[in-house]
Amino acid sequence: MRGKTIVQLLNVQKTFYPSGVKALKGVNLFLEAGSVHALLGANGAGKTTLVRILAGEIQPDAGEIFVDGRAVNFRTPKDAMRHGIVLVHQNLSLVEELTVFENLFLGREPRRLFFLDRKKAEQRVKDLSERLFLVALDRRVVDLSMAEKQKIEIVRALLFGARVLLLDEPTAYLSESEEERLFELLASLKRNGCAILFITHDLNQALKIADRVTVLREGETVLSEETSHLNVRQVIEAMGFRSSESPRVDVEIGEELLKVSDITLRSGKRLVLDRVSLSVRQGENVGLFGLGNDGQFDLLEVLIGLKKPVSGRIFFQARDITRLSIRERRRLGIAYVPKDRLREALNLEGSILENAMVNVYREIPFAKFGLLNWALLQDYIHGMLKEFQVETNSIMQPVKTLSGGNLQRLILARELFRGPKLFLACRPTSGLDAQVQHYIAERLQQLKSWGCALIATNDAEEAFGLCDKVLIFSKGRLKRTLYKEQLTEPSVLVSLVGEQT
Amino acid sequence: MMHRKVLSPILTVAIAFLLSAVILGITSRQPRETLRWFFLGPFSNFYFFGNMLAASIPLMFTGLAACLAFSAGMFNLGLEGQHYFGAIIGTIVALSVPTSSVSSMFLALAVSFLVGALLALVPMLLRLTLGFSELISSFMIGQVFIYVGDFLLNGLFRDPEAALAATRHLDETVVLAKILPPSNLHAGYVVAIALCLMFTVVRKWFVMGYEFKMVRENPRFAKIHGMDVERIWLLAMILSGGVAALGGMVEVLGVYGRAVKGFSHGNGFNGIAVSLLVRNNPALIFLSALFFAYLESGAEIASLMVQTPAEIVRLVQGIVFCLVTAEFLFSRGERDADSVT
Repeated sequence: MRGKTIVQLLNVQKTFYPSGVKALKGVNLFLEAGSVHALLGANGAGKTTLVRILAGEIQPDAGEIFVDGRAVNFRTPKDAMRHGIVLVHQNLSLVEELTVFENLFLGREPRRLFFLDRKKAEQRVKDLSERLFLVALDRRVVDLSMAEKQKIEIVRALLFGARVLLLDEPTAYLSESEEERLFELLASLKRNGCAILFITHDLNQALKIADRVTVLREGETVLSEETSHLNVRQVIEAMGFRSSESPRVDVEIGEELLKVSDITLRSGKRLVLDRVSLSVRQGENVGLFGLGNDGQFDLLEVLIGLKKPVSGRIFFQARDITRLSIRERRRLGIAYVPKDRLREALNLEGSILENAMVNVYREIPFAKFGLLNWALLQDYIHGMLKEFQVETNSIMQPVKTLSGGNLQRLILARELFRGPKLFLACRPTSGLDAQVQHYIAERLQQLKSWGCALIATNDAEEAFGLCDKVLIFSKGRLKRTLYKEQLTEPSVLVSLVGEQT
Repeated sequence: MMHRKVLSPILTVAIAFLLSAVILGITSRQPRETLRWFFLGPFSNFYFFGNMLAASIPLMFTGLAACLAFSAGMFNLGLEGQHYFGAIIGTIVALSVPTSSVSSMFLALAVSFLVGALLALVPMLLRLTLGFSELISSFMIGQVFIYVGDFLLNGLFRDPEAALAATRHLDETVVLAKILPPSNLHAGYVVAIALCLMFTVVRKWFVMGYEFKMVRENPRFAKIHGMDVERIWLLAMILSGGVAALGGMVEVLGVYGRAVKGFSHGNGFNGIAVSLLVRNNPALIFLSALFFAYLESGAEIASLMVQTPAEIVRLVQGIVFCLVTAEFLFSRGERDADSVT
């Protein structure tokens, strides 16, 4: 089924200003009709930059792009779209308040005079949505799962003649079963002659799904080969990693730090958490695992104080903190990494410094009589970023100039630097390459000697890799506890959840 | 890059001149005279010059008030009502309480601040408790109190001796000192600049400034990291309303000596434009307020000295303003075209 080459890139280069970061130093790549191509590389290797160039969002400094054998020059995403190339972002760009149908045609409604020609639109969408098992068209997007939203984005692209789909980490926020469905969709698109390029950090996944794999390393193509000729080790070597087991330290289990009793949380009429009780001791890293959004993330939001439970109590070091504000809880030594890194964990408008100092700025000696001591803050943040290996030219630069991997390190540095007693994290390793993941695992092991961690995730691999004990959630209920001895491999978690529901 | 930064404002001004010359050429009998008075009039003598500076004083206050709300990501569209009504109540209180001159001045300022703050506080509370948009409710409440103010001036507190709707005159000793007589320029100018500088320092060096910025740029981020977002919003609105009203009171104390119906004529709304023109940078508000006052007094002088209808001169004023605003908006968009995310 493999067809002719649709898109070809030759020696594409890109340097960002004012940071002067050389994101791409000469990348070659070609995409064939009816094939799936995986783009791999460590954080900061230039993957996102490359797909953004292909989609016309940014312009390369040098190099050529050919579509159907003719040289093209994309100035805007519209130019790329005209050639059938569409990028589906990691952070989807749907209007939550509108229905699926309205989102599909947003900005490009077929019109009769000034009114939406609904019949015509429905006709166009009908055969596509049947083929791709799209959910009901009149549901509001806000009620849909991440996977369904992603599908809408893809259908939206196809509706307007996309034949080259670029997916930036499509599986980052998906649960296992959702991933399966996405891959089925990609396979059917492939049969219909689409070329698909997707970015991923999961090597096994890339080798399983893709026909061809390209590896970037520091802005250069270091490997581009048919999947059938490759094995995992070759790819890992090309990416510049040594493969390694995640470390695991055994420490003495200490006093009880967190005790949660009978927490119930509602969102409207829906029961998000149903009488959840648990207890965490110092020296424990506990995973909260659910296949989708089964309340594990909401529980962390309750613990940090973002959501108010309708009933139940939270005790931290034997003190009732149920009614404390977020600030007071943080002051007691509770740290929190939210799920949506770009919108919740970062202020993208601000500088690196402003983002890094948010947990300490109001404390003596950084603030006295309401006055900020910028010199001291800068020193402190410098030290913090250095220890967590966040690479920056200047901390006064906008935080947007950092690569994805460095942003994640910045967030973790901010929360972990002061040695929190209780570390709450949603999907701490999602979207990170193996090296950074390893690094986080190490940090979490260190944490055990003075505190504990609660890690909410829907990725069995992550729960398995980071935690000593896993609590399994299903539809807002705590179903079962798995101890270290029972955690033999990630699939145990998935199969267990299947039994429970 | 640099060339464009310098060239484009010059080009904007040139286009503004050209366009206004053309319009005046078509409509006015003495286009050259009109243009001359419009653009150079405010600098032709100390009287006009002083009046121009005086006209920028209330704009500095309302500009700073708008800037305060914007700084925390809030919209205060009720500036006009806060400015006007706050000053009226302040004047009435000062007139009805027999105290010494200095203390009744401070009393008037304090009362007006409180009234303005209250008018801005209500829409914010409505937003926090019931989810109303503060943009609309602040505007509506402001408008209502403009009429309440008119009602007070026309009825209960009207000076029966006066030909127009106004209160009695405040005592001679209560008003603010003049700086450049016979023009209207008064000590309020120094106060306004001092307030703007104060807020500049707060934004840059104080915890409050940092919190305002984070809340403005990403309230969710601010909340998750322990800032009391609602308290910051309330504070911003209270200060905004208070400063707007203070501006009205200073205007009464410095220029009119009493509250006159309609004395604010658009200062509140112009304050929003004054702040936006310098991208809500409080250190530059005195400049954009001056620019507004310059266009305003140019228009006044031109229609006074040459028999050009005031409407035409206002049209020219509008064109210049549109062009300058557009220029500022353009240069804003270019900055982050090449960012990574």
